[in-house]
Amino acid sequence: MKRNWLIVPTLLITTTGTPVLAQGSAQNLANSGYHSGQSVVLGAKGATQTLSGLSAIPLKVLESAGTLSGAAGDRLATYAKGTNDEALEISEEVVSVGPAPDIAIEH
Amino acid sequence: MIRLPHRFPLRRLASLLLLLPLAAQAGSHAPANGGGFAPDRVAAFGKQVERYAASRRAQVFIIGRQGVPADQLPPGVELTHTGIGIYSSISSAQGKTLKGYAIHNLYQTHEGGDQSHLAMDYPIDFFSGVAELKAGILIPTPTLQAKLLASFEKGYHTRLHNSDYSLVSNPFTTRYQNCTEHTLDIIFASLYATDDPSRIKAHQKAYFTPQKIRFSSTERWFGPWVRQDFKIDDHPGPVHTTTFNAIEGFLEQYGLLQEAALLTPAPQVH
Repeated sequence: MKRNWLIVPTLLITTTGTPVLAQGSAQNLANSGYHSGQSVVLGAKGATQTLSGLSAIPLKVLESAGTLSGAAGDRLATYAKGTNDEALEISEEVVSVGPAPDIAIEH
Repeated sequence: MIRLPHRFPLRRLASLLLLLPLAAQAGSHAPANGGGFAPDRVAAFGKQVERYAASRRAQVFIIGRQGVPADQLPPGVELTHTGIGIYSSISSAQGKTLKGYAIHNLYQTHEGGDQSHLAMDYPIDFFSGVAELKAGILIPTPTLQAKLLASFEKGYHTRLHNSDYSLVSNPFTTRYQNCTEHTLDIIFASLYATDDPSRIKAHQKAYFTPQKIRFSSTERWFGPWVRQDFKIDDHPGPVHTTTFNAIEGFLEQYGLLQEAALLTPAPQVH
């Protein structure tokens, strides 16, 4: 009898598309997306070449107005001085953390 | 991947039942990979997001993504995962030094599990597996950006991490934490220049309005039983949790938001 009580609510929650499921889907799939992300990078070998990121150091951009200078600390790498209407530089290459071991082993 | 007590086989079965449709939606093994979007589309969208933030000279911004189809989201919830993008010098294994955004995240360690870890990744990783190529972007004011940058330099983001995970954690307690609450904690730590959780929670209770998520009695009773990551014992009453939209509302209310945007893929030029 106890088993029936356990299964019934499970099926109710599973099949009704409730907010529990929805919210659960939301965050859980966020995590699934993380793992999927590794798959994309693996799948990208033929189409989009990616570089493997080893490290990322925050760049402190010094505005000409001095808005950010000093406040962000001195140990950050300084990128450039610029004006407020210049876009920051973005490299063309695509970089990725690369596949997680549990995903890499499947390929 | 799901860690459940072996002495509760039915509980294990229940969780697996719940996760089956989720796994199907995740598209982890779909031919195009990552939720049905081709790798080059994901890469292009990631670059679009980077260039957008760069055009605003954002050194730090808050970024959100949609992990599931819109019709499966609770009312009022638009984005499902939140992280912080930081303009960085990126060293690659191939010997190149690149400029772009690194995204700092709190992820569930196992799908459906009750633990989390911190991980840094890049836009192509961040947007892989999403239900829609859509990015929520919150660019804080330059002053708050500088304070956020200083917090990362001081290591606040690691010291504020609580690995006990709940999908719907109460932002006013330190019992559980999820990705969005971790982002909120970093914002408050930056504003008040502290990594003391009790002070941060006190300030949040005074100034932050979380989003109410409605659950039926059945869901409240049995949700925690069938899912490790659905814990509501930190909520004395109705569930109010941190969402991307709630963070946006907070930043806007207190004049801390320079710009908010919801990006979708740019039309292809042929």
